[in-house]
Amino acid sequence: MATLILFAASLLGGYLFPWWWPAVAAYAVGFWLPRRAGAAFASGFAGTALAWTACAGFLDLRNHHLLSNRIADLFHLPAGALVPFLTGLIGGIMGGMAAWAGFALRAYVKPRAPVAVTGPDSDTGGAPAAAGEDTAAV
Amino acid sequence: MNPKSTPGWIEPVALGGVLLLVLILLDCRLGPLPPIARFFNPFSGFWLNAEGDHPKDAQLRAPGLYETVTVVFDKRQVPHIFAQNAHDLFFAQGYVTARDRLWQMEIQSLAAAGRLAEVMGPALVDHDRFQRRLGMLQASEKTLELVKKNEESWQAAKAYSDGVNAWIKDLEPADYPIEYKLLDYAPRRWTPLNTVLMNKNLQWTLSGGGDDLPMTNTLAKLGRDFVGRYFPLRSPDVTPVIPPGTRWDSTTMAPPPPIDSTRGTGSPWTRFLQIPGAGGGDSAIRQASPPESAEPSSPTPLPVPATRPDPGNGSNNFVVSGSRTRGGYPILANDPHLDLGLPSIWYEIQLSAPGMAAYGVSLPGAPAVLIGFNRKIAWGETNGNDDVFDWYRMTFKDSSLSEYMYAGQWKPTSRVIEAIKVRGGPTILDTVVYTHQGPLVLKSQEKPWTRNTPSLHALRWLALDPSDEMLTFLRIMKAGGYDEFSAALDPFHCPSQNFAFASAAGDIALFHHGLFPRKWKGQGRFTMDGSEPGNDWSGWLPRRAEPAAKNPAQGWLFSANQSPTDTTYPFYLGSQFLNGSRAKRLGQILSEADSLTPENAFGILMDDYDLHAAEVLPALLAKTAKARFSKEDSAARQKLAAWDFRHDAGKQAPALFDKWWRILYRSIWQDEFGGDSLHYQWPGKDRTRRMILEEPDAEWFDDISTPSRENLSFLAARSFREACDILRSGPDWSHYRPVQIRHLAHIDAFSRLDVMAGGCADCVNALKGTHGPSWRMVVALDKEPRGYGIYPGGQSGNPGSPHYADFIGDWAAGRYYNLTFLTDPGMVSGETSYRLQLRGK
Repeated sequence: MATLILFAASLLGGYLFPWWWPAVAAYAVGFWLPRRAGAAFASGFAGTALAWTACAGFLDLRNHHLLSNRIADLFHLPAGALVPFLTGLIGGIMGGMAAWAGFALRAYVKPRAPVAVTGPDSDTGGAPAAAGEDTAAV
Repeated sequence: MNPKSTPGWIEPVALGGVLLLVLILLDCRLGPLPPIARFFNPFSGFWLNAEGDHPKDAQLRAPGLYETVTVVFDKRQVPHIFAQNAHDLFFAQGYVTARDRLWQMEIQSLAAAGRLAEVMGPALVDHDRFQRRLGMLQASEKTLELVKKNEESWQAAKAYSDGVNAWIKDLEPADYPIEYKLLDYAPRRWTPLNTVLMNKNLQWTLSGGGDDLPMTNTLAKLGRDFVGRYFPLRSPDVTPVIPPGTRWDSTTMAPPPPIDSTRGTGSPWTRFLQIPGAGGGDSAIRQASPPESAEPSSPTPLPVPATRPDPGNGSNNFVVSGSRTRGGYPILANDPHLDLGLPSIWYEIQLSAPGMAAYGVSLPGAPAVLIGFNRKIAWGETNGNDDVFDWYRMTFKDSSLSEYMYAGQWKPTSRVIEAIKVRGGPTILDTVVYTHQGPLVLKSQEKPWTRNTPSLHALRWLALDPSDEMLTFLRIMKAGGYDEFSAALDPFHCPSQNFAFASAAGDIALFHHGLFPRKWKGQGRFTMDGSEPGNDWSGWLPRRAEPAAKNPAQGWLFSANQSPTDTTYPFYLGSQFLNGSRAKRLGQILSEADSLTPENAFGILMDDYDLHAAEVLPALLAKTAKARFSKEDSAARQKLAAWDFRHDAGKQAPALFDKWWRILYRSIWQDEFGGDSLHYQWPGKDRTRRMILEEPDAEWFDDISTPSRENLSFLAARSFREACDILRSGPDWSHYRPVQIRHLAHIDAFSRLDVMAGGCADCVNALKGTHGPSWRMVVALDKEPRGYGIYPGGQSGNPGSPHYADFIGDWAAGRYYNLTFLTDPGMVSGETSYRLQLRGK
């Protein structure tokens, strides 16, 4: 859910707001939705990364990798096709960090019960959740 | 749960801090890297420069236009602009040029002005200081004042600026050319001063630099006889630009009386080395090597736009009258040789408005077309190479540089304070000292930017006088015949050019044109004594004395930067004409060309026969016939002996010959000039070849650094073995001499470094590694002129566009495109891609 929301927010807001918009969105989503820090990071990362990769990938295909090959050359990457993923990684780090920070604030101001209220959180998405991360300070 | 462990607020605050830090890191430049997230994000970063396939027809609002302008883009993205008046025409030219080349035009004008540090930081301060010291910015401002007085050029320059700004105004950061994103700055407003600066840049490239300093050093070292013998002003076997026998109108004035520059105190030439008040010694002439050129490894762009004149800047043009062409119409051809760069120095365009039209190449940043044709005439230029760049040794009263000796008296200098803004640093104030001759480019003990700049010398350079060359090209667009064309040249002063002209009416002509200082013979060939009034330039040659020819009996005219005239011409114009194999070969081809076709002309510009090699190689092989060589080296000799002297990309022999020649040339002169760190002018390739052919026993073949006596045979054999050793792998010509077309900011990823092509410095197709035919054009002056042309680049300046470098393959292969002159915007051509309608309201 959080991933989906962030994916949509990153895509739509990207055209309206500055590049750091996904950080704002992910912070808010991290505050509201996830139950664990790992899940927050994972959904923040995935939502933004997917949006950025998809958008870059579309532009790259339309451009027949012309520019991405030059950018790959510039940054010593082996292939232009990797550049959309690098783009996603950069977006993802920002989104993940923001969601995690949002979650931490929530955990401090209004800690949620560690047990699901409305059902199991499906947003962990198999992302690594280190033991130390999911301790909300309660 | 456990309030005694870490307080609960630590984590959100710490994570918030880390988040902020990440955002800041992603938003700022780290070393050479662009702001990472701003650069990579797919909503406003570089991805927006990844152009899609097909632009569509569109209507755009461009406030400032009087009427609607239609721009038809063809498949190569060449704009054909149709306007109702001159204002709208140049407005639209500025608009579409900015659309395709904004970063290039801005960075080149900033470079000319000495303002690169402003956008690129402290590394460019030395560059900027040099430009300011040359007086580029001051001169451009003075020139602008002159342009303002010429209604025609002022209106064009203003309209062009308005067009550029109309494009810039609608740009969001997401739309900026990729270089702005990479280097993280924003485009500035364009002004007519920027346009003037573009022309200043061209003047520097084509008339700046000079060899006065190294010539002076050579003179001081080896004497007048040597210079007279080994630096001839003309070559016996190169036809001058203006055919011998042409009458000169020099009735009204004689050349000024020569000054004996050797007179005065001290031994004749050694006093060149003494600069009073300069710390003594030979500091004025001893120069360190220039700063390392910026060759960054990507992704580190350290942009130093190429602003150093190449001594090999040359070009070809020729015109053949209808009597010698198959179609019975004149044919004009031109290929200016310049540094090859991306985005290309040229932008192809058609301009049409009532009463004026042109198709050809324009300089991004300036209105009109520089080389091209309209429906009645065609024109093209090569560099004139006249000497309008002279250095004066100054004697200052003291180190404050406030007074200098002139005509036996102390005369005050004037000063200009130049403020060099530096990105990420404090503004640097630099005082430029001027004498009446011009600026003092290097003060004492300063590191020279180019090694041929002497310190404590004042520069007299024609480009620092205001002149309005733009006006010439605006008038050529309206010219329909010889008289109008000739009149249009009047305002063109610098850099002097060989203007080739042909008309549908059947005329051909060549003008060696510019503003020529009236000089005594040899004036300005060496640095001159600045205290001697007789060394100053004294007046100008009148236009009627300029070397020019119209419809000569031979039926053809050409120029390849060689001497403009034979010895009957009464005035001295300079000593840097290129009387080499290229000019000789082109003259030979044209004298034999009968019933020429445009296709023949294509071939002539692509000619890669090396006359220099053809003349010298047989002699070198003969000289080394008796020497002993290893089996491999003998095989290499066989290859050379079988060579047809053509520099084709796939041949090995040209690489072998080139290496051999270079080593031999060096071994002949190195011992004479290599003893110290001074910068000397060495006798040229052509004179050295003549020495090999005609003076095989010359003393210069002896290596004076050894006790034994070497001769030509010995040097030739030794250098051949060395060349073979170095070229063990046997590279072909195109790998030995790769053609590299570099991005203006030296960003490898935006460059083409692997172009395979033939040609050589001495070929008509003068393609050296990074320098060569920057635009090849042939025009048949039939009832409707038919143009053909190509340049090594593409119309778009955007590395993410399919039109960024799309001409390079065809250019390397010697192909030409049809330059389709559209007569009206509705004309349906198979080549039309899309149309833009620009509306003022």
